[in-house]
Amino acid sequence: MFDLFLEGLTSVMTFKTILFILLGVIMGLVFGSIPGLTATMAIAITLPMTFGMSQMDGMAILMGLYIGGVSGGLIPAILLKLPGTPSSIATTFDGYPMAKNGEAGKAFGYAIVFSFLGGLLSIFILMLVAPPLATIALKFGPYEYFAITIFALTMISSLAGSSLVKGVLAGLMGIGLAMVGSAPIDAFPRFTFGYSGLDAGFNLLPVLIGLFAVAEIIKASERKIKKEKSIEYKMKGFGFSLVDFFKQGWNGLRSSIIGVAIGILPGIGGGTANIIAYVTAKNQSKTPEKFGKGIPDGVVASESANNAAIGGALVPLIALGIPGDTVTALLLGGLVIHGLTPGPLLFQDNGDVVYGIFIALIIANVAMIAFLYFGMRFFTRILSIPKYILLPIILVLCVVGAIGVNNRMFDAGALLLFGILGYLMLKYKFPVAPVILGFILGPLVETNLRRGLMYSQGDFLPFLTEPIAAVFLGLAALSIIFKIRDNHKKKRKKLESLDNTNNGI
Amino acid sequence: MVKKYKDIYASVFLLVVSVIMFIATFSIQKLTVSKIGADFAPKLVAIGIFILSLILLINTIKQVKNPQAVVVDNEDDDDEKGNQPISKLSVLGTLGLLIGYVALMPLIGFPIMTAIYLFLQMYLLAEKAHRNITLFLIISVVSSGVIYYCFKSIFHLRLPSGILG
Repeated sequence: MFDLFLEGLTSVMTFKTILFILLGVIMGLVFGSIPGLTATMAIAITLPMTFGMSQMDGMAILMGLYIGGVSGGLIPAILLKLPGTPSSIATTFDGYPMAKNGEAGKAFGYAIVFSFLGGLLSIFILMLVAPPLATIALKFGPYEYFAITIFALTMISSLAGSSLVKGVLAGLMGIGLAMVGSAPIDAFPRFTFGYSGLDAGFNLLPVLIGLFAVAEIIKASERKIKKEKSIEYKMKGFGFSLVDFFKQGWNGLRSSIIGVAIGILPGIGGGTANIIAYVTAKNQSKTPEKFGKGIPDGVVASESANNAAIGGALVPLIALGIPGDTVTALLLGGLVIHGLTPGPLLFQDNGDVVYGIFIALIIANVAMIAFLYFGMRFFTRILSIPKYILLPIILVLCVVGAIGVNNRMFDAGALLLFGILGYLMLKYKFPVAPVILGFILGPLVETNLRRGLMYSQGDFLPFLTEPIAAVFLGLAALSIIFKIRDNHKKKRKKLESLDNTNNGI
Repeated sequence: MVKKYKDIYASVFLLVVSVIMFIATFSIQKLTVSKIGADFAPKLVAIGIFILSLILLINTIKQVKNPQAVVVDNEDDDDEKGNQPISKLSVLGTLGLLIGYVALMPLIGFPIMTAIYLFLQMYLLAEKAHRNITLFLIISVVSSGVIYYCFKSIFHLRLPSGILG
């Protein structure tokens, strides 16, 4: 392991690669800090720029983007009460009240420092967990992979939002969309309706940017956009003392661990982690009534958890080749474009790149805290660039990215199609994230199911009797049962409270 | 009320999709030796979509008939918030611009189409008071040129050059 670490270190420690990491962090911070632009978008439009780069340079800029994109969200969350990314939703709960009380600088200080610490801890956990997990995963066959992906698919339910039925429907739509093109194993064409452009199926990049970025831009055109006002704040040092820091220590550590754990679970990432960490911090606090009124604990919990989810989400991606959320799904695409197949074999074939990625993450994390501390004035100014200028340019970059995937106009058409689909889903209140999860995991499930059946000559039994596969299938069943029960409970509660209010009148 | 009808439209649409999907699976070729072929998983997904959209349809009809039991969720109803009404015309305009942009690009070329698209889209998105035509023109032409040059020369991506090439 140590020699691989050194190899990775030497491949990262070149002027060019470090420059790319820094560039990635800055771009990520810019995208993260503008509400409506996300880390996913930043990676999507940067991917085509990396096509011509070396493996290590490409990975360096992507890791920088990931760290920067998740961290940048804290700026508008604190100043404007607008989460820059879904990962910073809980930061608005206490960050904005702090800013209103004139403590914006202090809130920034806490947010930046604990973002850094949460991220750092999670990178170390990634470095500790991923290699041994990959060694175990080397022994996995189709039965195990089938079971793990089924388990990952059940996580759709947690992304479903208010309606479980709609969430699962969205997931099935994603699986169905992934089926267009050649079938796995025997490569017979499916759902191409005789149109040869569909033979290769839809590429992940146009689907993803279409559903997320293009749909957002169409939605933005519903109303005329006004200019945002510029914001004032003061910042002196990090704004808190060493004693304050140690007071937050346990809170930060607990939130980071929550972040890592949620990040590792496929399907959910920083967007969920920050809220759960916030709620836990509130429940564990001696003064829960102060939450929501501008207490640093809330900011610390949210910001350490969302950055900690980064390292967590990379664990299943690098060790198993299964992406946890939309950002890691795009990273998976990025790895494949550079000829790296994520999964257990990555450590054997490209160990230097894997450790290079780890080191790039650490550098990016350090760069993030430095840029945010010294460049806060710049990032707050970016917030006042009008959206009506930014959004069209981003759309053009999306189109360029879509054309760039395979050098054909077909993908640009697909991008628009998915943009419109995404917009309709927003309007009809269907969640979009399950589509992506289904799109990515569906083919994995099918391939491994059919591979396993070939292996066992058409016998289903090994899927249930192989111990590891059985455990994951059991977990999948449990997660479905829990979700349905939860849903029923919630509905009944809502109905009861509704009845009570009706009786009260 | 409108929201409920939306669910009915969506579920009926998905029912139709699932039926078409199921019928289409019969034309998928398969090997004769294996029971589970290329058509197995698509059939399963089609059936799944059918059943779930049926559940959605029944639930929604129940709610429409019995509005007392409706569980109202105001979680992300951003249609109502904000004082400005949604402009359908503006959405259609954006869609038209997008489709025109992509459809005409192979013919006219990336640099020209991008400049035109950027200008019109900015004009469409901006509030009347902020419409600064000179600024928009300069930004459109410059960013189109910069993007084209960067991707063509630095990142070696082939973008349609059209009548300029």
